[in-house]
Amino acid sequence: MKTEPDGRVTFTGEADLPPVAMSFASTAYNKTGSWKYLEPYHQDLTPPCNSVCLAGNDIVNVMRRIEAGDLREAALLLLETNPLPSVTGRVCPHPCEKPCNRKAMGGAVSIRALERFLGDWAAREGVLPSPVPEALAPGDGRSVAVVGSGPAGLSAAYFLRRAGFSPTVFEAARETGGLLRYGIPAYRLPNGVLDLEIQRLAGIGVRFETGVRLGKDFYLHDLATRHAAVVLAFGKNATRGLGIPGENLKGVWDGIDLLARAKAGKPPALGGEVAVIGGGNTAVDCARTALRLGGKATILYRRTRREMPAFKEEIEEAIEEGIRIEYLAAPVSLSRRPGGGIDLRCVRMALGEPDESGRARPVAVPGSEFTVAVDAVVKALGEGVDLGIVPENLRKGEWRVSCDERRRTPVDNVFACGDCAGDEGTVADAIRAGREAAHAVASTLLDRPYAPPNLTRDRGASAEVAKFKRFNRAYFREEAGVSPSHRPASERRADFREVALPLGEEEARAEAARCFKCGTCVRCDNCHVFCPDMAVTKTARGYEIAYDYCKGCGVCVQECPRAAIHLRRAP
Amino acid sequence: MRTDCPDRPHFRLPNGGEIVSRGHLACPGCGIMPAIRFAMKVLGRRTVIVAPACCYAVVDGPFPYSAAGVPFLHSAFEAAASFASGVRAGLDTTGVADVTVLAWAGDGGTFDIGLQSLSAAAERNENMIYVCYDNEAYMNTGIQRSSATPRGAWTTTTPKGATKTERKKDLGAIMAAHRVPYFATATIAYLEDLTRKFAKARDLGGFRMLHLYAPCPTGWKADARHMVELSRLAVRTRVFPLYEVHDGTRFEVTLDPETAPLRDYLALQGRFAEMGDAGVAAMEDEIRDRWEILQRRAASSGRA
Repeated sequence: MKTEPDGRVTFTGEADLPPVAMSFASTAYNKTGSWKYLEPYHQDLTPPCNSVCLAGNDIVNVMRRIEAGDLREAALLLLETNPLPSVTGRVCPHPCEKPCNRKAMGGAVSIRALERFLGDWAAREGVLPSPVPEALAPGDGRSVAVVGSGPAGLSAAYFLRRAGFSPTVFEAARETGGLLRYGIPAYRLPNGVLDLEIQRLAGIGVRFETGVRLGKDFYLHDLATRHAAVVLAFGKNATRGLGIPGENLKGVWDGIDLLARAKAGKPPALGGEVAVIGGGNTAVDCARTALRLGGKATILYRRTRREMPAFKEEIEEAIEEGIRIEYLAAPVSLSRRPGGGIDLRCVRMALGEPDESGRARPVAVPGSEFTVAVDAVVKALGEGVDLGIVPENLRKGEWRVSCDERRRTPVDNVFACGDCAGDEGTVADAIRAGREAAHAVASTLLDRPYAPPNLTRDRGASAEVAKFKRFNRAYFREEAGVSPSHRPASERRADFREVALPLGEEEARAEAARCFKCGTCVRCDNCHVFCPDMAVTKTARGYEIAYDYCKGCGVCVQECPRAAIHLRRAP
Repeated sequence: MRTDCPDRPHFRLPNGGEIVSRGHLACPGCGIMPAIRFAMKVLGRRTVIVAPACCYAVVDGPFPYSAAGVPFLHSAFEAAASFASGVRAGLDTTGVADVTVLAWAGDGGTFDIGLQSLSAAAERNENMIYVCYDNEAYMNTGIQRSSATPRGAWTTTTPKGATKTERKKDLGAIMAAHRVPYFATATIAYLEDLTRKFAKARDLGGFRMLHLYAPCPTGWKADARHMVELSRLAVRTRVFPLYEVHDGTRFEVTLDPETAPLRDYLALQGRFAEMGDAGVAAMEDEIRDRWEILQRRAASSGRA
């Protein structure tokens, strides 16, 4: 009898035959893989949350680590992409929760509340990211100037430091943080939270110089000669006026100024009827601040709620707190009222054709003027960028610094990001912009290709977004989530303490466990245990399919709970 | 009744190496394979398998090859239980006490052709585990109906226009009437439940029987990829309830997951394509009847 290397047995004569016909050799010689016309393959997809996160957080894998109780690993992963998790965990409008596949089975995962939980934990524990990740060639500690310490500047400095540069952040105000410190009220973002995040940056070697203003204490030219590169990251530093008579009367406040003074703990005396003019986040913040200072706040907005640019939940919270919003009304003039106070003359508006922003253009209704008696008026129409502080060749139009898609300005080794570069977005967008600027600096100074990392792509996920219809629902239960609780409106309107309450660790782990981990192999073993051909084996890295035996039945694809296995035509 | 949910993707299943090997001849998506693979992981290498003519007798491989990984004996169609009784007697006579004798038969060799020898072995309380993997027809000979084929199903002997009119035999009731020490139903979608029952059978003595529901994509005109899905839906629609019976008297439903509409189960299979609304309603009634009987038996066991 001969046994071939592949396990096949050949009988050479009668003497080879056993006394009874009993099998003794394995069927493994028989490569049943030749039967198939389809074959499965493991391939992670991009989770929907991840596909819209501007900061580029690897949300699903952060969730997995929180669920496992491995908070340090979770924090380190989050800090790979987000230098300010405690901040975004509070103020980000969480677009990630909108496409969450969990929505259909108990509500979207409270990703933002979990980010806050993890960010605060990391801050308390003093978790630092490693300063120089191996993936990037170190920048030899070369010095880079970052102008502005708002979220974009902080992000740029953080990623520059992690790429091996020595960034110094120049801030005109007395304290760092920019908009985060002066523009977001304490009931949404307490300064103590911001301080801890900035401490982390200092902890990895980012330097800060405060109270020095570009265009006054130094010029771009000075920075460019003293540093290997400059990143312009200043924000909106000019308030738009109303352009109507009486806007400088006593009792008329600048919105940004009001917020800054309230945040610094030195608010102006503001009481009685307060009219806030505008419809953006600043307007809502000003109204809620005025309310907490003892005023009765009304927002005047020239369009309707549908067009209001403020975050939806900010508007909802404001209304809960008792703030009135007068839609389709615009101010015409302000005048002193005999006996004190201000007469605010308004006109009714109607919505007309869409304007260049795509929103319906408000048109004044003739003869609809009316007057309201108020004690104070807050101007919160929005802010602009004062370009007077940069040379003329860096200006693009009236409101932004000129830069290309790789963050390069027309001046060599000068880059721009954030509000000044037209990234008129959220804190998460500023974080992305800052990271891009840091990578642009690195690619220019180190002469490498410009490729900001994408954690999801880098860990091998395809760009295709994982859709719920491809999931196997048998593996998921309808489960209601924790709704991040808020203090009652009646209580919170009286002080500046945070509105949203934090999650506890148990709550956070349970919430993270609700995450479907869309399109992401979590090694649940379904493909391995259900394979009728035993062709899916476990390896240290995941699974391996023995195509020699796989008959292409597709059971593994069907039983993968979260669409991390797919079928293709067999070669 | 156990209410914990086996649909968790993290199985508490026996680890250890594979005993059953690759290269077997089962059709793509065969519902027998995960069952025998995990059964053998529970029973271990000190096992002898006796199989009558059935799908698995072919699937296991041609002489001199076998996928089972343990001594595998082919018996005549009607004789699995008596053949296994003989193997047990031989082992006992030669003083081998640590070997499990496992009869591994299809529904044809159990419900129909082997029922007499099965009944006799059960009556003698032979020390063996008898498994009927039920794919609801004579599949490897060409999908002929058996007494395990459900009413309304297409087979090649209950063809289009003349689908089966008789109901499926109640194997559990037959075996319970024999007062065997242990009888249980199990299926591959609920592998934790299945392996737990094999472990229980292994640790008991006397005649133990498992009735395994094994979807057959080939004979059921189903997509091979739906093999586990069919197994799961059979339980969720209560087409195949998961229960066990101790000593023929104590009935217990072991798992009663969230129910699913019968049509979800039928829609995945071409063999029920001819079943109209009246047929579906009749099948629902039959399922409800059987479920109520099972509930009554379980409830009266509780009082005993």
